[in-house]
Amino acid sequence: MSAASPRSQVIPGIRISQVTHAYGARTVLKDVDLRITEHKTAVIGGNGSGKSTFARLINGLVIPTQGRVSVDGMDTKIQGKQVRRQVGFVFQDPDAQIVFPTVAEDVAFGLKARREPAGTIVERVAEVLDKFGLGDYADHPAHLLSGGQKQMLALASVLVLNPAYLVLDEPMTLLDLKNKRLITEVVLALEQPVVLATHELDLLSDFQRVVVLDGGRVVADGAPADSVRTYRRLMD
Amino acid sequence: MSTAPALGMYLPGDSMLHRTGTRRKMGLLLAGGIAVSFTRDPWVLLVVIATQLALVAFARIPLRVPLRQLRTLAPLLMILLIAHAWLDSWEAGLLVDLRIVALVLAATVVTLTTRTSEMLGELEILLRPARYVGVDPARVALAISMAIRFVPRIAQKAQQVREAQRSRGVEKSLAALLVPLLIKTLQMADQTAEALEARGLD
Repeated sequence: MSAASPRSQVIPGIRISQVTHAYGARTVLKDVDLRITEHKTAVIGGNGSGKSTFARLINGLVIPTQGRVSVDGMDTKIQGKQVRRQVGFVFQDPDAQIVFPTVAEDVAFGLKARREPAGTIVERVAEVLDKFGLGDYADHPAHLLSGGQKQMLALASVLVLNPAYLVLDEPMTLLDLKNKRLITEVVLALEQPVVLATHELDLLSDFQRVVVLDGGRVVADGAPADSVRTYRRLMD
Repeated sequence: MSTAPALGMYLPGDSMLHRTGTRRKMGLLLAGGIAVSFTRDPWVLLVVIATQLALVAFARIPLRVPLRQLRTLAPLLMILLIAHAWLDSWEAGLLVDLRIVALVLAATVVTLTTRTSEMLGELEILLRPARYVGVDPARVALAISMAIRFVPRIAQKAQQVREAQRSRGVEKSLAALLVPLLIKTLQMADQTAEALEARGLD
């Protein structure tokens, strides 16, 4: 984050303090306590380990039953709306995220919701669509895009708003290898800090930190090689 | 990648019809719709239908696109024709069917040549007075847009459910289709609500 940022007065980064979260009687996260300041952080774990809930905590889609989550000092419980303006979120299934019938309309949606001037919206949408290889599909029906293009559109629709952080919840699960690599390249090239919940162990070598969840607890937290080793042991 | 549009969805182009202002097209559709609703002359309706088809060709849209959309109406048109023939006369049934075809074609010509966002923009303007009774025009426009977006998604889900049922030997069962489809649709609505929240709509 640049020193000139208006948030430079607050403690930067994502802080997850003593978080426990339960859906009814089922506890999905237990005593999670960590601060994320790295540029690229991944969260791995088996099915039901709590990865998706962990990701949703960061932009306030899930408010912990115990503990506190803050982003740049903003509490997700109290300042959820402000947090969501700072933290972009990409879902596993892009179809869940695309709400407008055509590609350009969907990218424009967030800018319109923020009441940006019409000229700015047109400019930004064209710029982002070109950047993500969707320039020729501006008026194309979103439901007719390929899986990779849909995920690229979901990413473009989030990044057009210039979020300070990006959280991705298993964005590559439904993609083929080529598209997985494409999305990984895009994610790794992003300027903003990224938190990626994933099963794709091959793509983690460029991450600075990998957190391993098992049964809702953090069981490893460190360099990719060490964390992946722990994860593989858990899966054996 | 297929380029077939969903029901009534915009097809990009640069014809004069595409470039005509949204307000003008919607105004003409409304006026034409009222006129078509009141005429009792089948020849007038036939001329309107022929004109709409000519407009489709003029907009360089393949004729099969509106015709495919009309085909989905065929069962309804048949029921109306039979009901009118039974209760009134074949001529009355034919008149109703021609009227529906003319109206649907006119609406199709507008939706195929106008972006959804532009139509919704006009709708938002039209709905502005509703603010005084607590209705948010932007929310109404968003709801309509999402309904349009959901049509192909629900159709896709229905296809998946049908294929799953067939693979398990269930050829035709309305309950076997509707129950899982309803559950999938509710899950989809849940996910979309979460996505809207994540994208800043509270």
